[in-house]
Amino acid sequence: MNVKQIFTALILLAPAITQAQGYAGLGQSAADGFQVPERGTSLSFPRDHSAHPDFRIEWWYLTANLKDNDGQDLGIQWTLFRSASEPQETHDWQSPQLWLAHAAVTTADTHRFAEKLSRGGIGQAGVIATPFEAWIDDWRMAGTNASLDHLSLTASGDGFAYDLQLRADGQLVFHGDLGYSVKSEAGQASYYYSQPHYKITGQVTLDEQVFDVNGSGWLDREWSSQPLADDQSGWDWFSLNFDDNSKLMGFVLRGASGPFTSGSWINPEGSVSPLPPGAFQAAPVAFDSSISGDIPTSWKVTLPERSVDITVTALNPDAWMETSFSYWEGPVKVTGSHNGRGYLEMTGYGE
Amino acid sequence: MMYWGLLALLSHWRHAPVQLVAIVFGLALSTALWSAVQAINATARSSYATAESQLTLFGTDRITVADGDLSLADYVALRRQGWLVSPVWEGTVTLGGRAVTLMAIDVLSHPMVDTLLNSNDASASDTSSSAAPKLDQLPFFAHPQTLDEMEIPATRTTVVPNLPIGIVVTDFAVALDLSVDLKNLSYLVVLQENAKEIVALPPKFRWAQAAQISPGQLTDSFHLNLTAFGLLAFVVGLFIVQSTIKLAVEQRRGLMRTLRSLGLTLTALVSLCAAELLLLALFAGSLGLGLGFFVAGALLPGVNATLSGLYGAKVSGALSMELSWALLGLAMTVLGTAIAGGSSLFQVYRLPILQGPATSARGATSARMRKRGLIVGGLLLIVTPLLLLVPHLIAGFALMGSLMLGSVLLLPAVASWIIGFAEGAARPGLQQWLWSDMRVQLHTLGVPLMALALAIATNIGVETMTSSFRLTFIDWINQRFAADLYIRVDDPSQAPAILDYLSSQGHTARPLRTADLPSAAHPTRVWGVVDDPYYQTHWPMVAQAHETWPNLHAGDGVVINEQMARARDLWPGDTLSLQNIGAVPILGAYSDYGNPNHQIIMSNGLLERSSVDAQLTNIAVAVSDKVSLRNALRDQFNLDDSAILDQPQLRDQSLKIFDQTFVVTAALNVLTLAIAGFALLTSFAALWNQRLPQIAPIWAMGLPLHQIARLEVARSLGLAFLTALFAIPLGLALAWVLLSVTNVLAFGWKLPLYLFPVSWLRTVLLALLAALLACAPSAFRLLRIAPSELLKVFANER
Repeated sequence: MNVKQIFTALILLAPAITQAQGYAGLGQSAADGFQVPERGTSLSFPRDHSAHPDFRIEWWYLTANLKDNDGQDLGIQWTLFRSASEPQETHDWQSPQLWLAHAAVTTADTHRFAEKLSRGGIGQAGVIATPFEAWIDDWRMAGTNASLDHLSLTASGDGFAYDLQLRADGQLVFHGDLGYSVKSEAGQASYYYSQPHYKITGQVTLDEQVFDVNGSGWLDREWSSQPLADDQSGWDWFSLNFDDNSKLMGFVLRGASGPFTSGSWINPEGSVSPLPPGAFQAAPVAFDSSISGDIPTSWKVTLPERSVDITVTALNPDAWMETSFSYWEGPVKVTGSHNGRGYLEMTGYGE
Repeated sequence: MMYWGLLALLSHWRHAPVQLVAIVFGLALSTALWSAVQAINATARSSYATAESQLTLFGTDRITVADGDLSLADYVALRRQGWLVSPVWEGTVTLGGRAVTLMAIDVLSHPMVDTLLNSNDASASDTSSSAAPKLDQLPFFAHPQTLDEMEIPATRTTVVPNLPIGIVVTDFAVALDLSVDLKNLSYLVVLQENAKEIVALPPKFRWAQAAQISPGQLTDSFHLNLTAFGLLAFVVGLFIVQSTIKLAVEQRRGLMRTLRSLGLTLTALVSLCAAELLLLALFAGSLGLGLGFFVAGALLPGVNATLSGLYGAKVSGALSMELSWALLGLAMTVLGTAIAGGSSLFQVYRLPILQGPATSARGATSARMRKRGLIVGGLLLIVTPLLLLVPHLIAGFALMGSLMLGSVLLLPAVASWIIGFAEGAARPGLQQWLWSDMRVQLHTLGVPLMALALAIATNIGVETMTSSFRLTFIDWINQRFAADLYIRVDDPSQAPAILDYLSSQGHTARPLRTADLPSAAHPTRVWGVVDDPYYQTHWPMVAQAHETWPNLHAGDGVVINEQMARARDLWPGDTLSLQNIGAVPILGAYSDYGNPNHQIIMSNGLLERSSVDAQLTNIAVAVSDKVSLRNALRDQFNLDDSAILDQPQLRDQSLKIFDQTFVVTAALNVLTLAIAGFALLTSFAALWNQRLPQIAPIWAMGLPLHQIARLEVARSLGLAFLTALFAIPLGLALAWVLLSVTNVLAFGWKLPLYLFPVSWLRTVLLALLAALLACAPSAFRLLRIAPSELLKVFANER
């Protein structure tokens, strides 16, 4: 890790130095005037597609499972994080809002990624609602109107680039209690909604080779001021698209007092059922990554109430994001009671 | 049994404290020297980084607006088009009661952030609050001297010795609080990662390419050589230890035989000896580490150490005791002891229990050893030239090793041959005895003399290398910064006005035009120069044709840098094909150390014909009153501070830093010699008892003791002188290998070899002084010896 990376990490994640405070500093207490999510607050659009500077952290997180013309699987990631040191925005160099973005392209044997960093307030990075646009430098996720229904998505880095068009094929999905998503037994929570119904076409450039691609995408929107409990050290997050058009989002938050799991079941018609804590179960079955021996690259996932008993396996076990804070993020294959594809994010490993 | 055996073995040291001191000191000194070199190497690296970053602080490509102001919106627009640039605002502000040049940067993107944070980790990690650190809480970064003159609370500042004096760097968020107008940016730094070919620069902007200055490669080569020096110094130390361990084993033969006869197994005896060596190595190694740290600390003219002390900051590269460094040093000592003691342990292993003491056999052994040395040395020297054929760095180091070791192994044989020759020519009697006695002494003094030869050769080699390196660096830096002021012209339309202004003020200006060859396989920059006698007198050439510069100014050819000449094997007489012109003759090649790129210099006329987009990028001005011209230019043409470089100041600062390291090297040289002198001293001391039987008969024949003592001194000096004569050419050969072989293998260019006979003389005198000091105690003892002692020799013989 070079100094710049350390510095970046410090700026964004200064409090994360001790493990007790959770992965990436997300376990710190909500203080300093930041808002905390409250149950019963109804989300309002297009306002809530945009940034919430009075919350400490926020992200626009898009993952997609694509295929090229030869039927080869590949995944892409586009993430914009916001991290605030004060609950406000100023329109100058002193903005307390910091923006960080990650982009990646992953195939079975290649994983390319890049990172961008900027402050808010000067226009180099930000999110606006009308028309919708989230950007940092020339990485961009932009709509034609105030909705998230039609988006164009671009990013590039060392050895990769993509330019994709996204068209939503269904409604937004609200997790937990109408978008109020509980993250621990102690009641930590975030606002969390998704658009899991994207159909995608476009081009991906990998090592100067251009591929026409199509597939499906999943956008997560989440913001909070303290989504993790103090003792939670990382999470395993699954977004799975089954061949029968049903979808499953589930996460395991690993803590000293045992794992906390939750999620949502989305039926083929698009209606969503929140999963009660403990209903979603995921257990590692293989550790094949050459990055670190503690990274699970294959999982057994069960959801008895929906007769789900599946194996989720990484397309590329080495999809490691060696960024300011590092984590595993990559496309997965699903086999078992249900077949399909999806994305897996795992944090707090390989330390 | 083991316990008593060990006690018995160790009891030897009570009888021979001099040997114990010799071993411990030999090991400690060589560890000290090795670790001191390591420490200095680390510190030197940071010094070079300082020199380099001062030179490159302004040396990045930058983007400005051709006509008008550069706004924050321009920066954001470029960023959003994919340009990897970082904004900079420069201006004079009053800060802490003093006018300083403030450089506001974006810490999230500026390439200098690594350097700034490297200097002081404390500020970055001092983020104990639960919130992410705030950008407007970032410190002011400045050179300690700048900070000394300002009244700013220490909590708001970070010391960065790499920054030029008078410049304060901080983040835009902090600068905003100083109520300075940041609306218009000074320029955008183009980050190295920026892929220039992907996005076209909008016509509004102008891309100014940086001068290609980087002594980075020079310093790398220097460190390679310093490391070689450290190793050689260590080997010198091992020579001493080896001879002493051998003596200690020899003197304990009786004891060991007794122990074996008492039933101590061979394995146990060898293990005990090995354990004893390990104990000695660990003890002496620890001593040496402390000593090395002390030596390095005392030698470095304290800049870094002072910084640590004064500012409580752990400056990168400052002298600090690190565990890895200490462990490596100890490991080296143990390994070295194992090598040095290996043959002695083997001797113990093969010790015949019953064979009586055979002192006479020692002479035979010594002759055998000498013969073996001659064979091994000869073989090594035969291999040496073959290694020249292997174009690999490892082979370069092997070459250095085999040359040094092979040569010194031959030393006893060569010395014996020369002395034998002198002996034959000497008059019978005292003179002949003197020579023949000298030859006998060679048996015992061989190893310390080899150490002395190695020390002298290393000294001369390394000093030649460092001095040549320094001269080269001065030449190079003078070539680059020969003018008093350099004006960087970002806007070519301004150039005529600046030139007019300069000539109206009576200054001689040399405009420089540049263009980059788009088609070249290797990055190649073309310089167009005006006809000025400066080039004829100042430009250092490695090869040139007749009338190089007049022909060049007439447009009849070009000169290229050494990198290009060597890489493409183009030399005066060859031709180079240029676009739009065709083949032009090469008139010469010039040294251009540290530049990784190729370079071509031609006349302005030729450049105009060959390249349509050549830009006037720099104007060099020779001027006596730099300050007023600088101010006048700034006011007249609205040039930002970094556009006018007072290069001599930067150059002097850089040279000062380099010189510190050379002072250190010189002091290390003296230390190496001291070690070799110490080896001689212990050998003389060990010889004492063997000397008496040889001196007693001479004394009995009537030669007065004071004359014998004088002869002792003369003989010691003679041997040292002979060794020095042998070592000088060896040292030069070493310097040649360092400069012309390892350097070329490592970096692709040669450093010229400069000869410094005065330093050879100094080294030889130092060696003689060491020999004098080494034999002084023996000579002094001879003067004071009681006749009864000498008579006892005859009594013992009976």
